[in-house]
Amino acid sequence: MQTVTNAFTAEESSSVRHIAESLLVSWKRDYLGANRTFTIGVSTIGGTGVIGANPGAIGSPGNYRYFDETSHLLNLAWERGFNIPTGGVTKGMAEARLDNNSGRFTPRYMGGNSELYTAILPERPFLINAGFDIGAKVMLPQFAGLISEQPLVDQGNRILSLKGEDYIRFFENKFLDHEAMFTSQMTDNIMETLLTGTLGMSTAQFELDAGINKIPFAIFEKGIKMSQIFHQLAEAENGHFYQDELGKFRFENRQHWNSSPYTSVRKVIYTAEVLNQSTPTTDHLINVVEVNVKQRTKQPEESVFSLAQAVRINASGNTELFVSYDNPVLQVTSLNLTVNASEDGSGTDYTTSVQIKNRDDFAQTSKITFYNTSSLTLWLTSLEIRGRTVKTAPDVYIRKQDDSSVTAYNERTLTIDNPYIQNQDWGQSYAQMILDDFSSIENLQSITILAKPELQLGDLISWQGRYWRIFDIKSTLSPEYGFVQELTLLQRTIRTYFRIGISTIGGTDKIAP
Amino acid sequence: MAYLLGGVAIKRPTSMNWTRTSQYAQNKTLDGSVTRDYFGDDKNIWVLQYRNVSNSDYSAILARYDDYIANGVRYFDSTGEAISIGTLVHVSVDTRSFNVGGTDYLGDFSLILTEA
Repeated sequence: MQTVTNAFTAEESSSVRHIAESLLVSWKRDYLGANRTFTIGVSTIGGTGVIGANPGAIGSPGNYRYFDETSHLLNLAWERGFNIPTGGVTKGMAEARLDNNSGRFTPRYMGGNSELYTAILPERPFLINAGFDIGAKVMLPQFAGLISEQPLVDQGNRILSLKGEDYIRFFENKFLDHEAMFTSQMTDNIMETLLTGTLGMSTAQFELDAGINKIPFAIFEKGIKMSQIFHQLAEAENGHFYQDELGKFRFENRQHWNSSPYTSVRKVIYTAEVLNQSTPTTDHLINVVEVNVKQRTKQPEESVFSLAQAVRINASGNTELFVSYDNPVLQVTSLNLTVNASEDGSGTDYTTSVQIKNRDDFAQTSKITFYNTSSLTLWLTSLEIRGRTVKTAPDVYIRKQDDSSVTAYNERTLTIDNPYIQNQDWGQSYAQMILDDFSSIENLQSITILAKPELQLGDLISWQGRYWRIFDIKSTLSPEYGFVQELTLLQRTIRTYFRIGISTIGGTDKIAP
Repeated sequence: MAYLLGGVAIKRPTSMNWTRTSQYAQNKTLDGSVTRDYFGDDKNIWVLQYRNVSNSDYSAILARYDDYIANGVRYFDSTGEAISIGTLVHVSVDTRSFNVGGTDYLGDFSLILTEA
């Protein structure tokens, strides 16, 4: 929950509230930071753009110059929610409608002549703030993102409609440009390597909980979407990867809310603040969980490649050879070759005349360049490569079910197939945790309240005498409906988990999953 | 009381109505209490009513309207009285009606000024 003053809290609970809101759009995408990664089409040769491995890396939302469009605002809506039930990557979305009677948002090609007539375009950063007028306007950050579609100009009704998504959208359009392998790494280590090394972000742009999941082996194929990588990694942890109200990327592990201050109620919601409460549906009901555990094991050194057919080595020059491996190779340890004058292996042994000039190892291939120092055409008749590989063991299938829920509602099955759940014990715990939360119909519900803009995802609230964790916040701000929020809530039983130095063996604290 | 619209004195109206408007959404909560969310500042609307106005006086008012259409919101103010106005307004002129017989075409209409 964001921090607010007593006066702010008093205003939000008042029967007469004075709403304050703002919409800021960086129509011209003026970047105020000293340096940004060089981006083709945006940066200029000789400018301040830095050449990096990650063209187009996003900057922090605070680094743009914005136009304040609040005076044209007709209504606003934005939503951010966790993935239910498994976690993973979640993307926030927003929309706004603005009055265009002045023609401010009419593009040049539609006859516009305002200062913005060439800048009514998508991919523009924007910010939404909302709060209350308590003598002065006090607003809290609510959303930071990019306009995701071409702004819709409705000239007949003189209205501009904007649709936007938060910066998670950036990961959906970034593809891994080379294969990446990790061995025995925690989730946050892999994420940090990708965020800083591959995407070129600074550590100030994200905050990652320590991973709980140690992944024995992870391989990401070239061309995979970055959002898919982060989703699978977070889902394997039953954690969440999302962007907060300020534009910071966050990875929260499954234990994120297990300790103070997240175990105490942040807000008590009173009936006088609730506009609607909807009956829970069976959509979320899960009473059978199937988990396919992908077990991969590192192998001791072994032969990983043996040449099947002789290869010609050009005289006095280079010859390239690509070799493929059946399994990902962590390390090539040795390479033994034999070179003869004849293809069938007979004739003079010329092994000493051929050098390995270069070798590039990828996960399941190597590119080897041989250099022939002699003036004769020779034949590579034998090549054996030894190395350490990772082999996939047969999948372990885990199935858990809540018998009483199955009796009541019939089977409602969820199958989790994630390559980074590689531990059988964790697979068992994961399945049980989902059953604990979602096998009972009354655990999830939504309420519509008079908006409390300081609420954030994961906040613990009290409603009807029970504790609930906020999993989704959909905010609407308009003269028609007022400033209201639809909250999706998951009922929680607050447990105290075992903490070294605080808990006692034999006490009531439980071991965290 | 005299009025200036866009810096030009306009004919004194027969009567004037001054309304204050606000923008709010009203909601009813589960315990039955009613709440209101107010948006933006309250705004004023002045309706200046004219009766039996000659064609030339009507044209002078219409010229103020045309000035607004051409140049955007205009400054509206009063002079010589305790009432303080002094604000930018949108200008509208509503239906002109003729109730008096004869050849002078004396008509009634209202000049509506809405605070921007």
